[in-house]
Amino acid sequence: MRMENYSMEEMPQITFGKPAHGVPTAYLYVANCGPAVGISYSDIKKAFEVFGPVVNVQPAGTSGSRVYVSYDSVDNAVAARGAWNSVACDALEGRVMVIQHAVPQTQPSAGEQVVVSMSSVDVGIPGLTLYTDFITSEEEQELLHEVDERPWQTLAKRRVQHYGYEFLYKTRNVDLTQRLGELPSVSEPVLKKISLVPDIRNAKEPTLPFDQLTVNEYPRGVGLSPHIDTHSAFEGSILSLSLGGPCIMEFRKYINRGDSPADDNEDMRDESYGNSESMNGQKDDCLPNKSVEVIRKALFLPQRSLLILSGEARYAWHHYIPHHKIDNVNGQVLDRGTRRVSFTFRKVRPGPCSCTFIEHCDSQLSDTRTLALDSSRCSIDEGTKGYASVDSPEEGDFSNEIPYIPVETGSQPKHFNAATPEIEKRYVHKVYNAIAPHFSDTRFAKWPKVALFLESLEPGSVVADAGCGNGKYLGFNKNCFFVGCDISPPLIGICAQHGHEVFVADALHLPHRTGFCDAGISIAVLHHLSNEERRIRAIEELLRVVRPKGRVLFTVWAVEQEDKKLLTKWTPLTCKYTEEWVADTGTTFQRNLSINSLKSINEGESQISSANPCENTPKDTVLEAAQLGRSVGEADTPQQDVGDESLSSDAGIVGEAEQQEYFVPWHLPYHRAEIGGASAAALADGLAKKDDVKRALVYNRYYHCFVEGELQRLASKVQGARLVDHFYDKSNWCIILEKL
Amino acid sequence: MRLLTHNMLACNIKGVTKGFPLAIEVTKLETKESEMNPDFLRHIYPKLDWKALHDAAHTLGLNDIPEQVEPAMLEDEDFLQKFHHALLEVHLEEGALICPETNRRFPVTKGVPNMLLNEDEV
Repeated sequence: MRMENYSMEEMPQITFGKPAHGVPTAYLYVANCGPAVGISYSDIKKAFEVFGPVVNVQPAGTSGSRVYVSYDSVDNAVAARGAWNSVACDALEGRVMVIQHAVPQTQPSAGEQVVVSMSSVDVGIPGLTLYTDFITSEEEQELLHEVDERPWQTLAKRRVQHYGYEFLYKTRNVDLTQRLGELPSVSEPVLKKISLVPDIRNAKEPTLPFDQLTVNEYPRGVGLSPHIDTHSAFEGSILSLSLGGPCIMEFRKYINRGDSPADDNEDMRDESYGNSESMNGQKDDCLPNKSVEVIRKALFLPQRSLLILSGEARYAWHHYIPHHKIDNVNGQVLDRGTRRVSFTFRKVRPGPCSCTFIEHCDSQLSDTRTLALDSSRCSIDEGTKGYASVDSPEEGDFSNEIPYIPVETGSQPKHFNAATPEIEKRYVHKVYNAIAPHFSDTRFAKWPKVALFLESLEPGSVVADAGCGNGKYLGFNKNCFFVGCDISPPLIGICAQHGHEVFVADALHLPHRTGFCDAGISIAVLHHLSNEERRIRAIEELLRVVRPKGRVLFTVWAVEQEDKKLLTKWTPLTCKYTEEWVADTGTTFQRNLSINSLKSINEGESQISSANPCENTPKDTVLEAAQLGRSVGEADTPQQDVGDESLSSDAGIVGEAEQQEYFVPWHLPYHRAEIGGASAAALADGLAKKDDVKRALVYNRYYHCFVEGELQRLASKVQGARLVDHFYDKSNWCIILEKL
Repeated sequence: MRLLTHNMLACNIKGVTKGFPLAIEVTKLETKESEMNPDFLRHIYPKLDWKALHDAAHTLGLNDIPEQVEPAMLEDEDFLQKFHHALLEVHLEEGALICPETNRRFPVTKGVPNMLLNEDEV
């Protein structure tokens, strides 16, 4: 259809669909421009022709003030928009138009939008070669017969067989520890032929011998999502032999064009666009403010042909087989056949990839999210807007317009070997298990800053609360789905009673799939971890389970308490116990309350024993702390409490390091302690002491309180996140991190 | 435990690479009705491993979850009800989750899975 033969009025009107943010097309949606504002369609055409031939100008909606301008090339449209979007246009009397790229609604098959080449030479991608009639019909039948005799692995839409090494769909990589059977002997003749092919013999990147074979059986209508084979998995060339039937393979190269002017101007949006948000409820967050250009080429792969991908074709071009039953090959209608079986020969790469196509390379890019964006998530104006993750069993299940957000965009969790230290087992886990119901009853206050964080989450968010305790924050935002976990079964039991979705787990070994959650919270948890490595690991784990751009909030008790008297009621872990229990040492201090300050407290029945701090046992100091008038029960914030006796403020600065390790008492009233059972055991064990004056059992909980800046410092040691906010709130240090 | 939670849980024993999805051993199920929120369902849909959900639903005796989903179905009230029911209303009260690679059992008691690892598993 040649443009020049048609007058503008005769040009077929295109139906436009939703705009694709950041993806340039040859079509423009121009607002504040049209007959209703005094500009005729021919005026518009004349003006916009400055940038290249204008195929058509047609109204957008019924307002008369918006139009679609169609060029015959993307570049021209990009130029026009670049020049005139949101600026006064001299050619149209200083009018300011708002211009975006428009996407035609019709979804032609690859055959209509992209010319299908019959030879790899015509396609012109470096490293792409096609050999037709590579094997004979007899050889084809032999190969098919052989694989049909062997067991197939059934995926959602197709069947596969693997030889050599197992290819793992979830990580899009090879498991070098899983060696499967040798390549079937029937493939030997083919491999011999392959070794004689010049592209293979003289390959720039050595590629023989092939040690991985994947056989794919595609039923009629099933294709393959666009992807680049993971760089780090395979080296050399990738070869694909097509058996049983033909197909079209499309190749796409994405080029980042850098920042484009801000697109959004939603009040100018036409009604015909409908809901401006994509199916998944969010604006397309693929490379916001960056435009991506796509070059598309297509090649017909006949039955019995051999396709070779090497160099640029292998490392920088996505390949894709449309999910069609019939292909339109330059006007000719070709049926796919009952099935197409491909034999893909690859060579496993033993180490990292060091190619020059860095933007597609998982070995060289530290942020694997960039890769995910680069391939599957960008909306393409072909109409098939979303793609399943590469080679995944789900591929093909998510057809047009449902973007599939790959959950595991990162690697498997790093393994963290340390067993739980004794101090935590005893003075955190055991204690919380013993005090759970009473503890839960006192956890009711909702902190404003935590509330704010939770309220700001998008509706539909999945929120992980790691160390959820009694579940105080679970369900806080009615529009979100909360999943809580804690290491204490009794506390989790209480959550479950309230109908919350919870499980028992260790915050350092979360069982959540990487990237599944939208947000995470860790409220008053990290301070129960007794060394820095564990605290960092907890941060890493919570970040791991949220998706890219997901946010996590951490709050911890501060050394710098608003109510400084409170610290006096705690037992600083003395040097003796520091050595025994805790490896961590504090940082430089500002103000310090040392054990000495306890001595200076004016208390009638003070039982502080000797002057040597290291000889005070926790038991003694607990008793003494109890006698300082501690009221029973506490809030999350380590303050409140009865106004106290005068505390000598000549506590002053003593010693070097700031005291950060503490035992903080918990008073469990006798009437709340179970009869027999846990309480008796705790007493016998020395885990709890009786306080007959207060009529309570006193337990100690281990805390590593944080000094100013410490939480941020820890976060800075974690990869893949950025600090969004940090603040001090009610005697807690808090940070919000965003996963990159 | 709801199937939404099941869809996000994997076995994280050291060295395990194929810990998802966990197989489900059903001893006791309970249905607890809740209000369907179509927007939430549409939001959560792309995050789910649909095959895992489908198979899990099947294990729980729910056979009206389709193997594949077409976009139009997310607008269909009938489908959404079934989706909602399977995802959020059916609870595994007693049973176990089983790692596909190691066969390690994670017990589910009173609706709560215990995903704690033993010392030799971390």
